[in-house]
Amino acid sequence: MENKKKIIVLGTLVLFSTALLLQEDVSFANDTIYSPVDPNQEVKPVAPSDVPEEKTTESSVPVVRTESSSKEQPKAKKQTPKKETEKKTMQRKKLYLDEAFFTNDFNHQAIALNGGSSGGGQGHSEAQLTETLKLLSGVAIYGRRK
Amino acid sequence: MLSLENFLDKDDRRKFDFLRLLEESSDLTALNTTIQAQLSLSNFLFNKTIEELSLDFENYGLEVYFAIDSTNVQTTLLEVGQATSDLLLAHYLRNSLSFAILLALFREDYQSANNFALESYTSYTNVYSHTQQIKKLLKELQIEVSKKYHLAGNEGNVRYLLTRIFSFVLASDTDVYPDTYKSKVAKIIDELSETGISLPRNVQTKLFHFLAISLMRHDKQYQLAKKDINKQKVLEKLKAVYAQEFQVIQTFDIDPSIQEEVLAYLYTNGMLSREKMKNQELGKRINRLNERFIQYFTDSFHIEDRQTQEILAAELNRLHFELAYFPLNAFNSFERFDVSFFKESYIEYFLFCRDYLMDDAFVKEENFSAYRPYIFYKYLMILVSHVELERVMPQITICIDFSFGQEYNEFIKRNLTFFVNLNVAVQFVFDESTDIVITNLNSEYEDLDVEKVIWLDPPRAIDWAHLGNQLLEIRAQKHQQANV
Repeated sequence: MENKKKIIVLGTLVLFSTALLLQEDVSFANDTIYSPVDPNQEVKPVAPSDVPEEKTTESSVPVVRTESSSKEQPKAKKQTPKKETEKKTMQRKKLYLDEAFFTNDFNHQAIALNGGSSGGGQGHSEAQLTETLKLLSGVAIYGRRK
Repeated sequence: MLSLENFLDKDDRRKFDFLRLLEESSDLTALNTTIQAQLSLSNFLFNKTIEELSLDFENYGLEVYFAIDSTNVQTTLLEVGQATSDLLLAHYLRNSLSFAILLALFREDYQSANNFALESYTSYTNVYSHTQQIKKLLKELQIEVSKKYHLAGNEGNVRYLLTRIFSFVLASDTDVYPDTYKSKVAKIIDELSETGISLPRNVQTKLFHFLAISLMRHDKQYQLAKKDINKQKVLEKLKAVYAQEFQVIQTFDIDPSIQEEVLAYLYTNGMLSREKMKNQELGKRINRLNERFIQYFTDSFHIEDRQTQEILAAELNRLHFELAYFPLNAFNSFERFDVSFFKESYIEYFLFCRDYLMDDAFVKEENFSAYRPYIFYKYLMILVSHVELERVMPQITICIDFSFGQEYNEFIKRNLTFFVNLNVAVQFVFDESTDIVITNLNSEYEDLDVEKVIWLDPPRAIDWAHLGNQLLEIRAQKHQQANV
């Protein structure tokens, strides 16, 4: 019993003292900060802006080797699988019947029939028909599976 | 017109939107950045949403239908095709405070926010703010919440709204209605099917809710608004056209006003004979609306034969009757209905219907503003199903010429029936009408100025895709030429 108590007392003491010791290492910033270039000049810290999006694009875009894409093309050119995943996850342009749909300032680009010309840039989403055809080849229509 | 997700709390809404975004993405996969941007989620909220969704799937027993797989680049929805996000929406609504309040308002056992809060073990402010929000939503439909917390105002809208919500959230679960009403309604539906009017499941369920709600409201002394003379005339006419069917309905032990509503319900849901409606005029307003549409249609497409006009008039009768006097189905939400397929395949009708409904003055004058998406969809469907596409657009002629013999060519031709929405004609001998050639011979058509796709045998997915793209391009060209 006595021993145990001693251990507890000692233990807490050790814990507290380490905590105090550690705390001493932490130095708090002074109210005023001086420029390292010109020590006479006072510097005001910029308030941290919380815009997480920027950070995520930076950190997530370059990492493209997801399981699915790396499985498909094990050692192809690094560019191709990237394009694939991007295209795959490209949001198809949808046409919803909201209020704007019935107004003149509705994006005419979305309304005009610009064919399924796949020649467009990366931003161009594939026609629904084409996408369906690819899925049905070898399943409902004659051909090889994708 | 009525988006049910508006009744959700912020958190449930966020989760539901998340699931729906994934559900509508190609390959059920979206980049995390896209999701975050579209739903304006921070990293923290993004991860939290995924966690909470998984928990909800478990709680509601939906984990057999959905799972979410997220890497640090993209997020994928795994599903087995046995459920859609609507199921989750129904669960959220059913467990929401808003739905509980609405149900209490309907049953008239909501005494005060304070009382309700005590009974449902939540805070007064919570109940109060939800009640206010519901009041606001109802006000848009000319429904008021009286001082005694009863639903009043436009009685038709009260019934349509409750039917819409209850049939979606509760579906075949009808325990919210007292037993006497349940057995009465069940009897009516049985009798209907015995006399040869058999209803599809969804029409039946909705009718059940509609009748139970109508009967309960009627017994609580809420009357449908006094019919104006026009509406009365139209209903008399409808009863005359469907005299036989109405005779059956008249045997039901319910108020005459509800009998008429049952007839209207069956008619607007397409459960009554189309033939009988041919060449019938229901009323002046409906006629005027029909004629206006048909006039615009003839001007645009120069289709003037009687037969087409008669069929259109009969279909338009139904739609315009519905809009003017029984807009129950128009309470469904069409705002999130993706119509891009129709834009691709039926561009002529698509643009026509949109143009027709862009006339703001007309839409406002007829009180159609709230129903506009529904009307657009209905007009489009009427045209697509009753006016063959080849009457408004030139054919696309495809020439098939493979080196494997005529049987093979014929076989490919059969596979082209897939393009039923593009109005294609097939030939085996090239001539000046040919728009595109499909072949496996690389140099056979080299000297000719014609579009061609060269296929590997058997065709790969990409070969079909090339053909699809070319056809759409030709389609677009022809559409443009026709409209210069």
